[in-house]
Amino acid sequence: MKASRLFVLFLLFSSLDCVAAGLDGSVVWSKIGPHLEVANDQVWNVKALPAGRGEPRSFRFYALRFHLGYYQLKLVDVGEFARSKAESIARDQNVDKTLPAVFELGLRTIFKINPFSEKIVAAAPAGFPTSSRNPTNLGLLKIDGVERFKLVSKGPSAVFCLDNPPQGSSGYEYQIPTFFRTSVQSNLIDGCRDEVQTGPRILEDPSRFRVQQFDADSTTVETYRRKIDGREEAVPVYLGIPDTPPNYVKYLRAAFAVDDPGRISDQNKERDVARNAYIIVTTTPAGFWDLQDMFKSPEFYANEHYAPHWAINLPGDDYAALVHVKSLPGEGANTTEIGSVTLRQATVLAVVVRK
Amino acid sequence: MSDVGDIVVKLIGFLAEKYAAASKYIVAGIFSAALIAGVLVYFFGGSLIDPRIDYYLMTKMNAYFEGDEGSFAAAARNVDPKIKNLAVAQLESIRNSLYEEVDAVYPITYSFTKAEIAKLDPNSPLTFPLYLYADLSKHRVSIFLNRRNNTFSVLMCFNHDQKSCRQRTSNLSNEDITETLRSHPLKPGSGGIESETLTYPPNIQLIEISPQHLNWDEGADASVEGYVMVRRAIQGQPK
Repeated sequence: MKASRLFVLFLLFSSLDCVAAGLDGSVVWSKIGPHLEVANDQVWNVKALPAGRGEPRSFRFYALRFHLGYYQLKLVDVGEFARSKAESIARDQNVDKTLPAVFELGLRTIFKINPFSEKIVAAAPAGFPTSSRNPTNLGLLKIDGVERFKLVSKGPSAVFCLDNPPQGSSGYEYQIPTFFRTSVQSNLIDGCRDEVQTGPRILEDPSRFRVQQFDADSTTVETYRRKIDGREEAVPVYLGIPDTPPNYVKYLRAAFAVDDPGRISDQNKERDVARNAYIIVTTTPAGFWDLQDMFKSPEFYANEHYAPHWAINLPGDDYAALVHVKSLPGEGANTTEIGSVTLRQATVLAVVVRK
Repeated sequence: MSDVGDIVVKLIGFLAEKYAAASKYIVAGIFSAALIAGVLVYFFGGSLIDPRIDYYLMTKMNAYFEGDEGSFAAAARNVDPKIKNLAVAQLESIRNSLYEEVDAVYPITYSFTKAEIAKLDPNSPLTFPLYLYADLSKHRVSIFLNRRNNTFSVLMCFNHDQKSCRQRTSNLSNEDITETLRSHPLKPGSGGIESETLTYPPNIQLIEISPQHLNWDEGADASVEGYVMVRRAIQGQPK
Protein backbone atom coordinates (compact mmCIF):
# COMPACT_ATOMS: atom_id res chain seq x y z
CA MET A 1 0.00 0.00 0.00
CA LYS A 2 2.73 2.38 1.03
CA ALA A 3 4.77 1.46 -2.01
CA SER A 4 1.86 2.17 -4.34
CA ARG A 5 1.30 5.58 -2.71
CA LEU A 6 4.95 6.40 -3.15
CA PHE A 7 4.72 5.36 -6.78
CA VAL A 8 1.73 7.65 -7.35
CA LEU A 9 3.60 10.51 -5.71
CA PHE A 10 6.62 9.78 -7.86
CA LEU A 11 4.46 9.87 -10.99
CA LEU A 12 2.85 13.11 -9.87
CA PHE A 13 6.17 14.88 -9.26
CA SER A 14 7.65 13.47 -12.43
CA SER A 15 4.75 14.78 -14.45
CA LEU A 16 5.01 18.21 -12.79
CA ASP A 17 8.72 18.26 -13.57
CA CYS A 18 8.03 17.37 -17.19
CA VAL A 19 5.53 20.20 -17.48
CA ALA A 20 8.00 22.64 -15.94
CA ALA A 21 10.87 21.67 -18.16
CA GLY A 22 8.91 20.79 -21.27
CA LEU A 23 7.92 17.25 -22.09
CA ASP A 24 11.12 16.53 -23.96
CA GLY A 25 13.42 18.93 -22.14
CA SER A 26 12.22 21.76 -24.34
CA VAL A 27 12.06 25.29 -23.07
CA VAL A 28 8.54 26.35 -22.14
CA TRP A 29 7.60 29.64 -23.80
CA SER A 30 4.60 31.55 -22.48
CA LYS A 31 2.90 34.33 -24.38
CA ILE A 32 2.78 37.65 -22.48
CA GLY A 33 1.76 39.91 -25.34
CA PRO A 34 1.36 40.05 -29.10
CA HIS A 35 4.44 38.41 -30.66
CA LEU A 36 6.08 38.44 -27.24
CA GLU A 37 6.93 35.38 -25.16
CA VAL A 38 8.90 34.60 -22.03
CA ALA A 39 10.59 31.52 -20.66
CA ASN A 40 10.61 31.82 -16.88
CA ASP A 41 13.18 30.13 -14.67
CA GLN A 42 14.07 27.30 -17.01
CA VAL A 43 16.82 24.73 -16.61
CA TRP A 44 19.16 23.94 -19.47
CA ASN A 45 21.02 20.64 -19.30
CA VAL A 46 24.00 20.81 -21.61
CA LYS A 47 23.68 18.09 -24.23
CA ALA A 48 26.93 18.19 -26.17
CA LEU A 49 29.76 17.90 -23.67
CA PRO A 50 33.06 16.64 -25.10
CA ALA A 51 34.78 13.79 -23.29
CA GLY A 52 37.07 14.92 -20.52
CA ARG A 53 35.14 18.09 -19.76
CA GLY A 54 34.01 16.87 -16.38
CA GLU A 55 30.63 16.48 -14.80
CA PRO A 56 27.31 17.10 -16.59
CA ARG A 57 26.59 20.82 -16.79
CA SER A 58 23.38 22.77 -16.43
CA PHE A 59 22.19 26.29 -15.66
CA ARG A 60 18.99 28.19 -14.94
CA PHE A 61 17.84 31.08 -17.07
CA TYR A 62 15.09 33.48 -18.07
CA ALA A 63 14.49 34.43 -21.69
CA LEU A 64 12.43 36.83 -23.75
CA ARG A 65 11.45 36.14 -27.37
CA PHE A 66 10.04 38.92 -29.56
CA HIS A 67 9.18 39.38 -33.22
CA LEU A 68 11.35 42.04 -34.84
CA GLY A 69 8.47 43.08 -37.07
CA TYR A 70 6.59 44.30 -34.01
CA TYR A 71 9.38 45.30 -31.67
CA GLN A 72 12.45 47.40 -32.18
CA LEU A 73 15.92 47.40 -30.64
CA LYS A 74 17.44 50.61 -29.32
CA LEU A 75 20.61 51.55 -27.46
CA VAL A 76 20.88 53.80 -24.41
CA ASP A 77 24.12 55.52 -23.47
CA VAL A 78 23.55 55.58 -19.71
CA GLY A 79 25.73 58.65 -19.05
CA GLU A 80 23.85 60.65 -21.66
CA PHE A 81 20.54 59.32 -20.35
CA ALA A 82 21.42 60.59 -16.85
CA ARG A 83 22.16 64.04 -18.20
CA SER A 84 19.11 64.33 -20.43
CA LYS A 85 16.65 62.85 -17.93
CA ALA A 86 18.19 64.24 -14.74
CA GLU A 87 14.99 65.89 -13.59
CA SER A 88 12.83 62.78 -13.98
CA ILE A 89 15.45 60.55 -12.38
CA ALA A 90 15.95 62.92 -9.43
CA ARG A 91 12.21 63.11 -8.86
CA ASP A 92 11.82 59.36 -9.05
CA GLN A 93 14.75 58.69 -6.72
CA ASN A 94 14.12 61.64 -4.43
CA VAL A 95 17.63 63.04 -4.87
CA ASP A 96 19.11 66.34 -5.91
CA LYS A 97 18.86 66.74 -9.69
CA THR A 98 22.16 68.65 -9.77
CA LEU A 99 24.03 65.58 -8.54
CA PRO A 100 23.85 63.03 -11.37
CA ALA A 101 26.94 61.27 -9.97
CA VAL A 102 24.76 59.82 -7.19
CA PHE A 103 21.89 58.65 -9.41
CA GLU A 104 21.03 54.99 -9.48
CA LEU A 105 21.47 54.12 -13.15
CA GLY A 106 20.63 50.46 -13.50
CA LEU A 107 18.18 48.72 -15.80
CA ARG A 108 15.30 49.50 -13.45
CA THR A 109 15.82 53.24 -13.86
CA ILE A 110 16.13 53.01 -17.65
CA PHE A 111 12.96 50.94 -17.82
CA LYS A 112 11.06 53.20 -15.45
CA ILE A 113 12.07 56.55 -16.90
CA ASN A 114 12.02 55.28 -20.53
CA PRO A 115 13.96 57.74 -22.66
CA PHE A 116 11.96 56.83 -25.77
CA SER A 117 8.59 57.93 -27.08
CA GLU A 118 7.60 54.30 -27.75
CA LYS A 119 6.55 51.94 -24.96
CA ILE A 120 9.52 50.12 -23.52
CA VAL A 121 9.13 46.36 -23.26
CA ALA A 122 12.52 45.19 -21.99
CA ALA A 123 15.97 46.41 -21.01
CA ALA A 124 19.20 44.39 -20.86
CA PRO A 125 22.93 45.18 -20.66
CA ALA A 126 24.54 45.89 -24.02
CA GLY A 127 28.09 47.21 -23.66
CA PHE A 128 30.84 46.26 -21.24
CA PRO A 129 31.74 48.99 -18.73
CA THR A 130 35.37 50.08 -18.75
CA SER A 131 35.44 49.69 -14.94
CA SER A 132 33.20 50.32 -11.97
CA ARG A 133 35.03 53.62 -11.42
CA ASN A 134 34.58 54.53 -15.06
CA PRO A 135 31.31 52.96 -16.17
CA THR A 136 31.55 54.11 -19.76
CA ASN A 137 31.30 51.77 -22.70
CA LEU A 138 34.39 49.66 -23.30
CA GLY A 139 34.74 50.07 -27.05
CA LEU A 140 32.55 51.36 -29.81
CA LEU A 141 29.15 52.83 -29.10
CA LYS A 142 27.26 54.59 -31.84
CA ILE A 143 23.69 55.83 -31.50
CA ASP A 144 21.77 57.47 -34.36
CA GLY A 145 25.00 57.73 -36.31
CA VAL A 146 26.79 59.63 -33.52
CA GLU A 147 29.88 57.92 -32.18
CA ARG A 148 29.80 58.15 -28.36
CA PHE A 149 32.81 55.93 -27.67
CA LYS A 150 35.55 54.78 -30.00
CA LEU A 151 36.30 51.27 -31.17
CA VAL A 152 38.84 49.42 -29.04
CA SER A 153 40.66 47.06 -31.39
CA LYS A 154 41.69 44.74 -28.54
CA GLY A 155 38.31 45.02 -26.83
CA PRO A 156 35.31 42.72 -27.24
CA SER A 157 35.51 40.73 -30.45
CA ALA A 158 32.32 41.85 -32.17
CA VAL A 159 30.32 44.94 -32.98
CA PHE A 160 26.61 44.32 -32.60
CA CYS A 161 24.75 46.36 -35.23
CA LEU A 162 21.03 46.78 -34.57
CA ASP A 163 20.04 47.20 -38.20
CA ASN A 164 22.03 46.26 -41.26
CA PRO A 165 19.80 45.85 -44.31
CA PRO A 166 21.40 44.52 -47.49
CA GLN A 167 23.55 47.12 -49.18
CA GLY A 168 21.59 49.37 -51.50
CA SER A 169 18.24 48.25 -50.09
CA SER A 170 15.85 50.23 -48.00
CA GLY A 171 12.24 50.25 -46.98
CA TYR A 172 12.34 47.29 -44.67
CA GLU A 173 9.55 47.33 -42.08
CA TYR A 174 11.80 45.71 -39.55
CA GLN A 175 15.35 45.74 -38.28
CA ILE A 176 17.93 43.26 -39.53
CA PRO A 177 20.42 42.98 -36.71
CA THR A 178 23.85 41.49 -37.28
CA PHE A 179 27.36 41.72 -35.95
CA PHE A 180 30.76 42.47 -37.42
CA ARG A 181 34.17 41.30 -36.42
CA THR A 182 35.97 44.01 -34.50
CA SER A 183 39.34 43.43 -36.12
CA VAL A 184 38.57 43.19 -39.81
CA GLN A 185 35.38 44.93 -40.81
CA SER A 186 35.89 48.64 -40.38
CA ASN A 187 34.00 49.52 -43.57
CA LEU A 188 30.88 47.69 -42.40
CA ILE A 189 31.21 49.07 -38.89
CA ASP A 190 31.37 52.59 -40.30
CA GLY A 191 28.14 52.05 -42.21
CA CYS A 192 25.96 51.07 -39.23
CA ARG A 193 24.06 53.82 -37.39
CA ASP A 194 23.37 52.02 -34.10
CA GLU A 195 25.98 49.64 -32.79
CA VAL A 196 27.84 48.57 -29.69
CA GLN A 197 31.03 46.57 -29.20
CA THR A 198 30.40 43.34 -27.33
CA GLY A 199 31.08 39.61 -27.54
CA PRO A 200 32.29 36.97 -27.88
CA ARG A 201 30.35 35.60 -30.84
CA ILE A 202 28.48 32.45 -29.81
CA LEU A 203 26.96 31.44 -33.14
CA GLU A 204 28.36 33.09 -36.25
CA ASP A 205 26.02 34.89 -38.61
CA PRO A 206 25.72 32.56 -41.61
CA SER A 207 23.59 34.77 -43.83
CA ARG A 208 26.48 36.55 -45.42
CA PHE A 209 29.48 34.67 -44.22
CA ARG A 210 31.61 36.05 -47.05
CA VAL A 211 30.73 39.51 -45.87
CA GLN A 212 31.42 38.45 -42.31
CA GLN A 213 34.85 37.36 -43.53
CA PHE A 214 35.12 34.12 -41.72
CA ASP A 215 36.21 30.99 -43.42
CA ALA A 216 33.25 28.62 -43.44
CA ASP A 217 35.59 25.68 -43.96
CA SER A 218 37.58 26.29 -40.79
CA THR A 219 34.55 27.12 -38.68
CA THR A 220 32.77 24.14 -37.14
CA VAL A 221 29.45 23.71 -38.89
CA GLU A 222 26.59 21.61 -37.63
CA THR A 223 23.39 20.81 -39.42
CA TYR A 224 20.13 21.77 -37.79
CA ARG A 225 16.93 20.15 -39.04
CA ARG A 226 13.71 22.07 -39.02
CA LYS A 227 10.38 21.65 -40.79
CA ILE A 228 8.78 24.13 -43.16
CA ASP A 229 5.32 23.18 -44.37
CA GLY A 230 5.96 19.58 -43.38
CA ARG A 231 9.21 19.39 -45.33
CA GLU A 232 12.44 18.84 -43.48
CA GLU A 233 15.11 21.38 -44.22
CA ALA A 234 18.79 21.38 -43.25
CA VAL A 235 20.08 24.64 -41.86
CA PRO A 236 23.82 25.13 -41.27
CA VAL A 237 24.80 26.41 -37.83
CA TYR A 238 28.25 28.00 -37.56
CA LEU A 239 29.67 27.55 -34.09
CA GLY A 240 31.61 30.46 -32.64
CA ILE A 241 32.77 28.85 -29.40
CA PRO A 242 35.57 26.31 -29.72
CA ASP A 243 36.16 23.50 -27.24
CA THR A 244 38.83 25.24 -25.14
CA PRO A 245 39.06 25.58 -21.33
CA PRO A 246 38.21 29.32 -21.11
CA ASN A 247 34.87 28.61 -22.78
CA TYR A 248 33.87 26.43 -19.84
CA VAL A 249 34.55 29.12 -17.24
CA LYS A 250 31.26 29.82 -15.49
CA TYR A 251 29.77 33.24 -14.82
CA LEU A 252 26.26 34.59 -14.80
CA ARG A 253 25.62 35.32 -18.47
CA ALA A 254 23.45 37.44 -20.70
CA ALA A 255 23.15 36.93 -24.44
CA PHE A 256 21.28 38.10 -27.50
CA ALA A 257 20.27 35.83 -30.37
CA VAL A 258 18.34 35.94 -33.59
CA ASP A 259 16.64 32.95 -35.17
CA ASP A 260 15.65 31.93 -38.67
CA PRO A 261 11.89 31.54 -38.27
CA GLY A 262 11.24 30.29 -41.78
CA ARG A 263 8.75 33.05 -42.53
CA ILE A 264 8.58 33.18 -46.28
CA SER A 265 6.76 35.80 -48.27
CA ASP A 266 6.94 37.41 -51.68
CA GLN A 267 7.08 40.71 -49.89
CA ASN A 268 10.28 40.23 -47.94
CA LYS A 269 10.29 43.79 -46.66
CA GLU A 270 7.03 43.39 -44.76
CA ARG A 271 7.14 43.22 -41.00
CA ASP A 272 5.63 39.76 -40.77
CA VAL A 273 8.66 38.05 -42.31
CA ALA A 274 11.05 39.49 -39.73
CA ARG A 275 13.10 37.23 -37.51
CA ASN A 276 12.58 36.59 -33.80
CA ALA A 277 15.08 38.00 -31.37
CA TYR A 278 15.98 36.56 -27.97
CA ILE A 279 17.46 38.01 -24.81
CA ILE A 280 18.50 35.49 -22.21
CA VAL A 281 19.89 35.95 -18.71
CA THR A 282 21.18 33.11 -16.60
CA THR A 283 20.56 33.03 -12.87
CA THR A 284 23.19 30.38 -12.24
CA PRO A 285 26.69 30.48 -13.71
CA ALA A 286 27.25 29.12 -17.21
CA GLY A 287 30.10 28.94 -19.71
CA PHE A 288 30.10 30.16 -23.30
CA TRP A 289 30.08 26.52 -24.36
CA ASP A 290 26.86 26.00 -22.43
CA LEU A 291 25.16 28.96 -24.10
CA GLN A 292 26.23 27.74 -27.52
CA ASP A 293 24.85 24.30 -26.69
CA MET A 294 21.50 25.91 -25.94
CA PHE A 295 21.34 28.23 -28.93
CA LYS A 296 22.07 25.43 -31.40
CA SER A 297 19.47 23.05 -29.95
CA PRO A 298 15.87 22.56 -31.16
CA GLU A 299 14.73 22.25 -27.54
CA PHE A 300 15.58 25.90 -26.95
CA TYR A 301 13.41 27.18 -29.81
CA ALA A 302 10.66 24.63 -29.09
CA ASN A 303 9.11 25.31 -32.49
CA GLU A 304 9.70 23.09 -35.49
CA HIS A 305 9.84 26.08 -37.86
CA TYR A 306 12.49 27.99 -35.98
CA ALA A 307 16.20 27.43 -36.53
CA PRO A 308 19.28 29.06 -34.98
CA HIS A 309 20.75 31.99 -36.86
CA TRP A 310 23.33 33.78 -34.74
CA ALA A 311 23.99 34.62 -31.11
CA ILE A 312 26.28 36.92 -29.22
CA ASN A 313 27.32 37.32 -25.59
CA LEU A 314 26.36 40.46 -23.65
CA PRO A 315 27.88 41.74 -20.37
CA GLY A 316 27.44 39.11 -17.68
CA ASP A 317 28.56 38.40 -14.12
CA ASP A 318 27.22 41.26 -11.97
CA TYR A 319 25.82 42.98 -15.05
CA ALA A 320 23.70 40.00 -16.17
CA ALA A 321 20.20 41.34 -15.69
CA LEU A 322 16.89 41.83 -17.45
CA VAL A 323 13.78 43.90 -16.88
CA HIS A 324 10.70 43.23 -18.98
CA VAL A 325 6.97 43.79 -18.92
CA LYS A 326 4.92 41.08 -17.26
CA SER A 327 2.20 41.44 -19.82
CA LEU A 328 1.34 43.65 -22.75
CA PRO A 329 -0.73 45.75 -22.61
CA GLY A 330 -0.46 46.08 -18.87
CA GLU A 331 -0.57 48.79 -16.27
CA GLY A 332 0.66 49.28 -12.69
CA ALA A 333 3.35 47.11 -11.22
CA ASN A 334 3.93 45.36 -14.46
CA THR A 335 7.57 44.44 -14.57
CA THR A 336 9.65 41.34 -14.08
CA GLU A 337 13.19 41.96 -12.82
CA ILE A 338 16.00 39.43 -13.02
CA GLY A 339 19.52 39.97 -11.69
CA SER A 340 21.12 43.18 -10.41
CA VAL A 341 18.72 45.69 -11.93
CA THR A 342 20.06 48.57 -9.85
CA LEU A 343 23.70 48.15 -10.86
CA ARG A 344 25.01 50.98 -12.97
CA GLN A 345 25.28 49.85 -16.61
CA ALA A 346 27.39 51.41 -19.34
CA THR A 347 25.05 50.85 -22.27
CA VAL A 348 21.59 49.35 -22.30
CA LEU A 349 19.80 47.41 -25.02
CA ALA A 350 16.15 48.43 -24.96
CA VAL A 351 13.26 46.72 -26.70
CA VAL A 352 10.39 49.05 -27.60
CA VAL A 353 7.10 48.55 -29.37
CA ARG A 354 7.53 49.21 -33.07
CA LYS A 355 5.20 51.87 -34.39
CA MET B 1 126.20 -7.95 36.26
CA SER B 2 125.74 -10.32 33.44
CA ASP B 3 126.94 -9.70 29.97
CA VAL B 4 123.43 -9.03 28.82
CA GLY B 5 122.89 -6.45 31.54
CA ASP B 6 126.10 -4.85 30.65
CA ILE B 7 125.08 -4.61 27.04
CA VAL B 8 121.72 -3.00 27.96
CA VAL B 9 123.37 -0.43 30.21
CA LYS B 10 125.81 0.39 27.48
CA LEU B 11 123.01 0.70 24.97
CA ILE B 12 121.03 3.08 27.18
CA GLY B 13 124.13 5.10 27.80
CA PHE B 14 124.79 5.19 24.10
CA LEU B 15 121.23 6.26 23.28
CA ALA B 16 121.12 8.83 26.07
CA GLU B 17 124.23 10.36 24.80
CA LYS B 18 123.18 10.22 21.15
CA TYR B 19 119.47 11.41 21.54
CA ALA B 20 119.65 13.72 24.56
CA ALA B 21 118.61 16.74 22.51
CA ALA B 22 115.62 14.91 20.92
CA SER B 23 114.27 13.59 24.24
CA LYS B 24 114.48 17.08 25.61
CA TYR B 25 112.20 18.28 22.83
CA ILE B 26 109.81 15.40 23.30
CA VAL B 27 109.47 16.09 27.01
CA ALA B 28 109.03 19.82 26.30
CA GLY B 29 106.33 19.00 23.70
CA ILE B 30 104.44 16.79 26.15
CA PHE B 31 104.61 19.47 28.80
CA SER B 32 103.36 22.18 26.37
CA ALA B 33 100.43 20.03 25.25
CA ALA B 34 99.46 19.45 28.87
CA LEU B 35 99.69 23.19 29.53
CA ILE B 36 97.49 24.10 26.51
CA ALA B 37 94.95 21.46 27.47
CA GLY B 38 94.84 22.87 30.99
CA VAL B 39 94.24 26.39 29.70
CA LEU B 40 91.46 25.20 27.35
CA VAL B 41 89.73 23.30 30.11
CA TYR B 42 90.05 26.31 32.38
CA PHE B 43 88.37 28.64 29.89
CA PHE B 44 85.94 26.33 28.05
CA GLY B 45 85.48 23.47 30.41
CA GLY B 46 82.20 24.95 31.66
CA SER B 47 80.55 24.49 28.30
CA LEU B 48 81.53 20.89 28.28
CA ILE B 49 80.70 20.10 31.84
CA ASP B 50 77.62 22.26 32.65
CA PRO B 51 75.19 20.67 30.19
CA ARG B 52 76.11 17.35 31.59
CA ILE B 53 75.27 18.65 35.03
CA ASP B 54 71.96 20.03 33.75
CA TYR B 55 71.20 16.79 32.08
CA TYR B 56 72.12 14.95 35.21
CA LEU B 57 69.98 17.19 37.40
CA MET B 58 67.07 17.09 34.99
CA THR B 59 67.17 13.33 34.88
CA LYS B 60 67.29 13.17 38.63
CA MET B 61 64.42 15.64 39.06
CA ASN B 62 62.25 13.88 36.53
CA ALA B 63 62.86 10.66 38.33
CA TYR B 64 61.98 12.39 41.58
CA PHE B 65 58.68 13.87 40.33
CA GLU B 66 57.56 10.99 38.19
CA GLY B 67 58.98 8.27 40.36
CA ASP B 68 58.14 7.23 43.88
CA GLU B 69 57.44 10.78 45.03
CA GLY B 70 54.03 10.95 43.22
CA SER B 71 52.35 13.19 45.77
CA PHE B 72 55.03 15.79 45.26
CA ALA B 73 54.44 15.60 41.49
CA ALA B 74 50.71 16.12 42.02
CA ALA B 75 51.44 19.18 44.16
CA ALA B 76 53.58 20.54 41.35
CA ARG B 77 50.72 20.02 38.94
CA ASN B 78 48.36 21.89 41.27
CA VAL B 79 50.31 25.09 40.87
CA ASP B 80 50.27 24.66 37.10
CA PRO B 81 47.22 26.92 36.36
CA LYS B 82 48.83 29.79 38.19
CA ILE B 83 52.00 29.38 36.21
CA LYS B 84 49.92 29.09 33.08
CA ASN B 85 47.96 32.25 33.85
CA LEU B 86 51.15 34.09 34.52
CA ALA B 87 52.58 32.89 31.24
CA VAL B 88 49.44 33.98 29.35
CA ALA B 89 49.56 37.39 31.00
CA GLN B 90 53.17 37.79 30.07
CA LEU B 91 52.46 36.69 26.51
CA GLU B 92 49.60 39.19 26.28
CA SER B 93 51.90 41.88 27.56
CA ILE B 94 54.48 41.02 24.93
CA ARG B 95 51.82 40.96 22.22
CA ASN B 96 50.52 44.38 23.29
CA SER B 97 54.00 45.74 23.07
CA LEU B 98 54.03 44.48 19.45
CA TYR B 99 51.02 46.65 18.39
CA GLU B 100 48.58 43.75 18.80
CA GLU B 101 49.85 41.97 15.72
CA VAL B 102 48.80 44.73 13.37
CA ASP B 103 50.61 44.39 10.09
CA ALA B 104 49.15 47.40 8.30
CA VAL B 105 46.68 50.24 8.71
CA TYR B 106 45.17 51.88 5.63
CA PRO B 107 43.65 55.26 6.40
CA ILE B 108 40.31 56.32 4.90
CA THR B 109 40.04 60.08 4.52
CA TYR B 110 37.75 61.13 1.72
CA SER B 111 36.07 64.50 1.83
CA PHE B 112 33.63 65.94 -0.66
CA THR B 113 31.38 68.94 -1.04
CA LYS B 114 28.06 69.42 -2.73
CA ALA B 115 29.73 71.71 -5.26
CA GLU B 116 32.34 69.07 -6.09
CA ILE B 117 29.73 66.37 -6.60
CA ALA B 118 27.68 68.69 -8.79
CA LYS B 119 30.68 68.97 -11.09
CA LEU B 120 30.94 65.20 -11.41
CA ASP B 121 29.76 63.69 -14.64
CA PRO B 122 27.18 60.86 -14.45
CA ASN B 123 30.03 58.71 -15.75
CA SER B 124 32.07 59.52 -12.62
CA PRO B 125 30.12 58.00 -9.76
CA LEU B 126 30.94 59.12 -6.23
CA THR B 127 33.01 56.11 -5.22
CA PHE B 128 36.23 55.97 -3.25
CA PRO B 129 38.40 52.92 -3.87
CA LEU B 130 40.91 51.55 -1.40
CA TYR B 131 43.32 48.81 -2.46
CA LEU B 132 45.09 46.91 0.28
CA TYR B 133 47.28 43.88 0.82
CA ALA B 134 45.95 41.07 2.99
CA ASP B 135 46.79 37.39 2.76
CA LEU B 136 43.48 35.96 3.93
CA SER B 137 45.08 32.70 5.01
CA LYS B 138 47.15 34.65 7.54
CA HIS B 139 45.38 37.96 8.08
CA ARG B 140 42.12 39.27 9.42
CA VAL B 141 40.81 42.53 8.04
CA SER B 142 38.52 44.92 9.86
CA ILE B 143 37.17 48.33 9.02
CA PHE B 144 36.41 51.41 11.09
CA LEU B 145 34.34 54.05 9.31
CA ASN B 146 32.81 57.32 10.45
CA ARG B 147 30.61 59.72 8.51
CA ARG B 148 31.25 63.40 9.16
CA ASN B 149 28.93 66.40 8.78
CA ASN B 150 26.30 64.50 6.84
CA THR B 151 23.93 61.66 7.61
CA PHE B 152 24.51 59.85 4.34
CA SER B 153 24.49 56.10 4.10
CA VAL B 154 27.48 54.20 2.78
CA LEU B 155 27.47 51.49 0.15
CA MET B 156 30.52 49.28 0.59
CA CYS B 157 31.45 46.88 -2.20
CA PHE B 158 34.34 44.46 -2.14
CA ASN B 159 36.60 43.21 -4.91
CA HIS B 160 34.41 44.41 -7.77
CA ASP B 161 31.65 42.00 -6.84
CA GLN B 162 28.17 43.44 -6.79
CA LYS B 163 26.95 40.58 -4.63
CA SER B 164 29.34 41.69 -1.89
CA CYS B 165 27.83 45.19 -1.58
CA ARG B 166 26.40 46.20 1.78
CA GLN B 167 24.49 49.34 2.65
CA ARG B 168 25.41 50.86 6.00
CA THR B 169 23.43 53.62 7.67
CA SER B 170 25.60 53.90 10.78
CA ASN B 171 29.27 54.23 11.58
CA LEU B 172 31.35 51.08 11.58
CA SER B 173 33.59 50.09 14.44
CA ASN B 174 35.92 47.17 13.99
CA GLU B 175 33.67 45.35 11.53
CA ASP B 176 35.41 42.17 10.44
CA ILE B 177 35.29 41.90 6.64
CA THR B 178 37.65 38.96 6.26
CA GLU B 179 34.97 36.47 5.30
CA THR B 180 33.40 38.86 2.79
CA LEU B 181 36.75 39.40 1.11
CA ARG B 182 37.41 35.68 1.13
CA SER B 183 34.08 34.79 -0.48
CA HIS B 184 34.38 37.54 -3.10
CA PRO B 185 37.96 37.42 -4.40
CA LEU B 186 39.17 40.07 -6.81
CA LYS B 187 38.45 38.68 -10.27
CA PRO B 188 40.66 39.10 -13.30
CA GLY B 189 37.69 40.15 -15.38
CA SER B 190 34.65 42.26 -15.87
CA GLY B 191 31.23 41.37 -17.15
CA GLY B 192 32.09 37.68 -17.25
CA ILE B 193 35.06 38.10 -19.56
CA GLU B 194 38.44 37.30 -18.07
CA SER B 195 41.47 39.10 -19.35
CA GLU B 196 45.18 39.10 -18.64
CA THR B 197 45.09 42.88 -18.62
CA LEU B 198 42.70 42.79 -15.67
CA THR B 199 44.64 40.42 -13.44
CA TYR B 200 45.80 41.58 -10.02
CA PRO B 201 48.80 40.45 -7.97
CA PRO B 202 47.95 37.87 -5.30
CA ASN B 203 46.39 39.01 -2.02
CA ILE B 204 45.25 42.39 -3.29
CA GLN B 205 41.86 43.39 -1.92
CA LEU B 206 39.64 46.25 -3.03
CA ILE B 207 37.12 48.13 -0.92
CA GLU B 208 34.90 50.68 -2.67
CA ILE B 209 33.04 53.18 -0.53
CA SER B 210 30.14 55.09 -2.08
CA PRO B 211 28.29 57.72 -0.03
CA GLN B 212 24.58 57.60 -0.86
CA HIS B 213 21.38 59.43 0.08
CA LEU B 214 23.30 62.57 0.97
CA ASN B 215 21.65 65.06 3.27
CA TRP B 216 23.07 68.57 3.19
CA ASP B 217 21.09 69.98 6.12
CA GLU B 218 24.20 70.23 8.27
CA GLY B 219 26.40 71.93 5.69
CA ALA B 220 27.76 71.72 2.20
CA ASP B 221 30.77 69.58 2.96
CA ALA B 222 31.10 66.08 4.28
CA SER B 223 33.66 63.37 4.68
CA VAL B 224 34.10 59.73 5.40
CA GLU B 225 36.97 58.86 7.70
CA GLY B 226 38.36 55.77 9.30
CA TYR B 227 40.84 53.05 8.59
CA VAL B 228 41.21 49.45 7.54
CA MET B 229 43.32 47.33 9.83
CA VAL B 230 45.14 44.19 8.69
CA ARG B 231 46.08 41.96 11.61
CA ARG B 232 47.79 38.65 11.77
CA ALA B 233 45.23 35.95 12.46
CA ILE B 234 45.70 34.51 15.95
CA GLN B 235 46.28 30.80 16.01
CA GLY B 236 43.09 28.97 16.83
CA GLN B 237 40.81 31.65 15.42
CA PRO B 238 38.68 30.50 12.53
CA LYS B 239 40.31 31.26 9.21
